[in-house]
Amino acid sequence: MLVWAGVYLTIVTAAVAIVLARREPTIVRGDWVFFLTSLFVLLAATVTVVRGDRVSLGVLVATVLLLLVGWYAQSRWWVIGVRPDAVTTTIEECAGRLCAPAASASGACTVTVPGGAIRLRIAPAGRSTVIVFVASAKHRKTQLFRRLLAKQYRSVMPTIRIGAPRAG
Amino acid sequence: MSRVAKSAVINGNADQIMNYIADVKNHPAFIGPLKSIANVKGDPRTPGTSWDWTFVMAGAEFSGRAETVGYEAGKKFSYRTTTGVESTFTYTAEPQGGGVKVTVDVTYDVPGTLLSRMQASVVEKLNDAEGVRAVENLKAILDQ
Repeated sequence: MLVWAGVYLTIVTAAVAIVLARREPTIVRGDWVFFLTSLFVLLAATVTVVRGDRVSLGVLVATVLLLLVGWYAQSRWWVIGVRPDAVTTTIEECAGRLCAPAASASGACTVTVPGGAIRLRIAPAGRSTVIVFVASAKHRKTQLFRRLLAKQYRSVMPTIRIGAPRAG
Repeated sequence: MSRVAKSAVINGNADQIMNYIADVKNHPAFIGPLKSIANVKGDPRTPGTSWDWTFVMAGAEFSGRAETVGYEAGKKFSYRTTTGVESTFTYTAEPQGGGVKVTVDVTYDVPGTLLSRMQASVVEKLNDAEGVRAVENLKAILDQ
């Protein structure tokens, strides 16, 4: 299990290094962190059980703690390198593109969708911003809003860039 | 030449629907793999107006340029990509029942090389599924 922990730490360290080395704003989605962490834990547990290896109590406790942290993070998105006021403006613009009225107050924003609302808390985190999804109505517009907001920033995963528009 | 055509009936006003679609900056809101539209040079309803687009697929970003072919208020908006795989996107609106039937029709050339053909076949499958999602997304955004 120590090998698995080492691999996990290496992946997390590499992701942090990539994000910090970038000049472009990057989004770290808590829901993806939780999903990928859960997948990794499932893979590690399956391989361990299949091989018949023993798991210590300490490893079990550490795994449960890791999953709890992931659970806590899943409703949070971090926008690295962007201040809250700029993030709020982007949120309002995304809502406008989806024909969904948005209302902002200090540190909060509500986007109205059919059958309910998406309620967000927007807080500074150093020179970055954390968005907390406090409530999300079950409507396709909610998914579209989350996806459109995520598109405004680079994802943690590096992408290959092919082709370039002509100048002018 | 390959083609994908998908439709949905939207409860709304044809003029407002086509105005929304003709504002190409709205396209990342309903086309999943389209990451961004930038550098729009003028009013996209005017033929010849051009812009930059960026698609993301399978960890790769493809960028290029597109330009308006034509616009008819409440009826039709059409544009073509001018770099990479050549394609034409046509959005039409026609009354149906109490709503408006919106159709997206995409035609594109399959390039000649083997690698490009393989890429185009993947793109074709993605386009088919994505075409359905795009019109369903438009309905979710514009239904009144």
